[in-house]
Amino acid sequence: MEDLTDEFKYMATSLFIAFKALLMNETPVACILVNKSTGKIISIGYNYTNASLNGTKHAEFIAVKRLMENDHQINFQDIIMYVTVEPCIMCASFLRQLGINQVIYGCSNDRFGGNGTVLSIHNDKKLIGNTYKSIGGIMRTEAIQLLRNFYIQENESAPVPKVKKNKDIENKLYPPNIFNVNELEFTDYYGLIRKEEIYNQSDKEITPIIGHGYKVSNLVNLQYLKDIPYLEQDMGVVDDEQVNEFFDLFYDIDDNGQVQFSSKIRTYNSKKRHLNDDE
Amino acid sequence: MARRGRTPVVSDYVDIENGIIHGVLKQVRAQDSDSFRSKTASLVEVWCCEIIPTQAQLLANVIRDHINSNDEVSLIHLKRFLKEERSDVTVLKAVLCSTTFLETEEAVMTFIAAHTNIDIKCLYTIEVPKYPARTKEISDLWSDTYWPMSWKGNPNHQFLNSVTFNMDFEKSIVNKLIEKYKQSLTYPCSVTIIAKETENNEGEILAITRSTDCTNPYNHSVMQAIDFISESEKQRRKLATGKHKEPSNYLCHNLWFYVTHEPCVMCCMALVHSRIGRIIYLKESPQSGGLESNYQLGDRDGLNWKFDIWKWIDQKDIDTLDSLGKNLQVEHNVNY
Repeated sequence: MEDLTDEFKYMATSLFIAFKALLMNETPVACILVNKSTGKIISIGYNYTNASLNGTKHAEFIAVKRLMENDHQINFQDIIMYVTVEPCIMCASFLRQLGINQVIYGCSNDRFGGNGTVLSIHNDKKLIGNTYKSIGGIMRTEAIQLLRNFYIQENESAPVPKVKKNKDIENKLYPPNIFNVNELEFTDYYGLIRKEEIYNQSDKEITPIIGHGYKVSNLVNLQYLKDIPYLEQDMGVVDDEQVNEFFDLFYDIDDNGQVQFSSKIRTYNSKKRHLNDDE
Repeated sequence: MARRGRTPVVSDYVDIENGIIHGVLKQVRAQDSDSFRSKTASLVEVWCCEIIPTQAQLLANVIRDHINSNDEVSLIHLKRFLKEERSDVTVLKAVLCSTTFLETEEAVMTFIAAHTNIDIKCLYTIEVPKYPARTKEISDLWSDTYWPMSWKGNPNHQFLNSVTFNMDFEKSIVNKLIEKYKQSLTYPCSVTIIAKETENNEGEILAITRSTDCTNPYNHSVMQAIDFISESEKQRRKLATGKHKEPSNYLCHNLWFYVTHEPCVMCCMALVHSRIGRIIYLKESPQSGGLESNYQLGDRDGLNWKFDIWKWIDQKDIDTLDSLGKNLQVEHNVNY
C-alpha cells in the first residue's frame, strides 16, 4: 500500500484512546477493531488492569468483549485490529483463538511481545488453529512516547513501588525499528518503495505518504475523535483542550522519516493531572 | 511458593533424578527442553574494574551494602573478584554492577567515590552470563569463556529436597477437581481451583470454576478463576471500612492453581501476568498448552515472573479423567 493515511488515522485513534487511559491512571495501551470491508470502527479497548485489579484486562480483551456482548455471531476473519503496542503473549494467543484476520501494531513489546518479539504466537505452526498476519511500525515512536509518559510515574498498586531513576524522557532516542516480518510480508503491506528505503533502516519511521512527514494533529481532530464509538460514553467527554494536550506529547516526523527532536513537546504529569512544559 | 525448609535433608519421598515427589507430583521444568541444555549463555553487560589487591575488602563492602540490593540485575552467581598476575604486579579485577544500574563511566566513578576511597585503576565493560548455570559442566565452560562462575551445587536439587507438600490436602483438591469435572454437562471442559496457602502447607479454597465452551477464550476455567479473584478483591475493598482495612491483595500473587488440563498459551501467560505462586495440573495439552508442551511459560528466563509447575501423575486419577473424556475425538484439538 502506497498511501497509508487511513491506517495512520486508525492508529492515531488508538493512540488517543491510550491517552485517555493514561488520564484514568491506566497503562496507555489501546486498540480499535475495524471491519475489513466497511472500514468502520466497531469497537475500542484500552488497558484496564489497574481499575479492575486484574492483570489480564488488556486492551484487546476489552475491545473484543464489548463486541461479543453486542453481537453473538462475529466472524473475526472480517476484523483487523489496530493496537498501539504489539500484543503480549496472552493476547496473541487470545486473538489467534478468535481467528482474527490481521493485527497492525505501533511499537514492539520487548518484555512480553507475542507477535514476534519474544515469541511468535501469531504464526507458530506447532499450535492448533489458524495463524494470523501481523505487522508493526505505524506510529511506533508515538506509542513509545505515551508509554514513557506513563513509566516515569510510580506504580502505586505494586507491593513495593519502585523509585524511578531516569525521569528525563525528552530528547530520548527511540530503540531501533523492528517490524517482526520478513521482506516479503513487509513489501506486501508497506509497498516496494518503503521496503527499499526503510526495511533495513532501523532509525527511519514509516510515514502516511512516502517522502512526506507528518504530525499527529494532521491525522485526527476533535470532531473525528468525538465520533469514535464508545469513546466518550466509556472514558468521558473529549474536548479541545484534551485533544491539544494529546497532540503536544509527540515530536513531528520529517519528510525523511526522521523524528524531529527539535520540535517542542510536553510531558504528562499525573500529580498535577496536567501537562508540564519542558522548559 | 512451596515452603522451603531451613535445613535440606535428603528424604525418601523425593526422587531427585526424575523430579518426582511422593510418587505423584512431577516437577515440570525447562530442563527437558533444548534451550535449557543449551551451552549458550544469555549475556549481560557489566562494569569491570581493576584495583590493588589490598583494597578488595573495601570494594566487597561497597558491593554488599550499596550495589547488590539496588542493582536490578542479580550477579550473585558470579565470583566477584579475579586475581591476575602480571609480569611485575598483581592486580585484582572485580565485577561491580550492571550497566543498567550505572549507565556511564562517570556515574560509576561518582558512585564509588561517594561510598569509599578506592583507587580504581581501570574501568571497562564486559559481558557475563546473566543467569546461573544449570549444571556444573556448563558452569565450568562459562567460567573459562566469560568470567569465573560461582557453583554451589545444582540449585534445583536443593529446591527439591526442601520443598514440602501436605499430601492429604493436595489429594483432596485433586479429588475435588475430578468431582467437578464429572459433573459437567458438556465436554471438552476444564476445571480450575484456586487456593491460598494457610498453615501446615494447607490451603483455603478461594475459587472453583469450570469451562463450558473452550472455543470461547473468556470461558476458559483459568480466566474465569482469575476474574473471580479480582471481583472478590474489588468487593472486599468496597466493604472494608476505615480502620479495619486489611492489607490489599495484589492480583493472584503467590496463589496456588489446580487445573485438570495444561492451560492454553493465553491462560498460562495470564498466570504469569497474575503473579501466581504454583500450578498443579493433570493432563498435558500437546498442541495448545503453554507449559511442558510449548514455551514453558511459568519457568522462562526473560519474562518478569516465574512460578512452580507440577504435574499430578497418579495414574488412577488420569484414568478417571480419560474415561470421562473418552468419547472426545477432538480432545487433543482443544485450547483449555
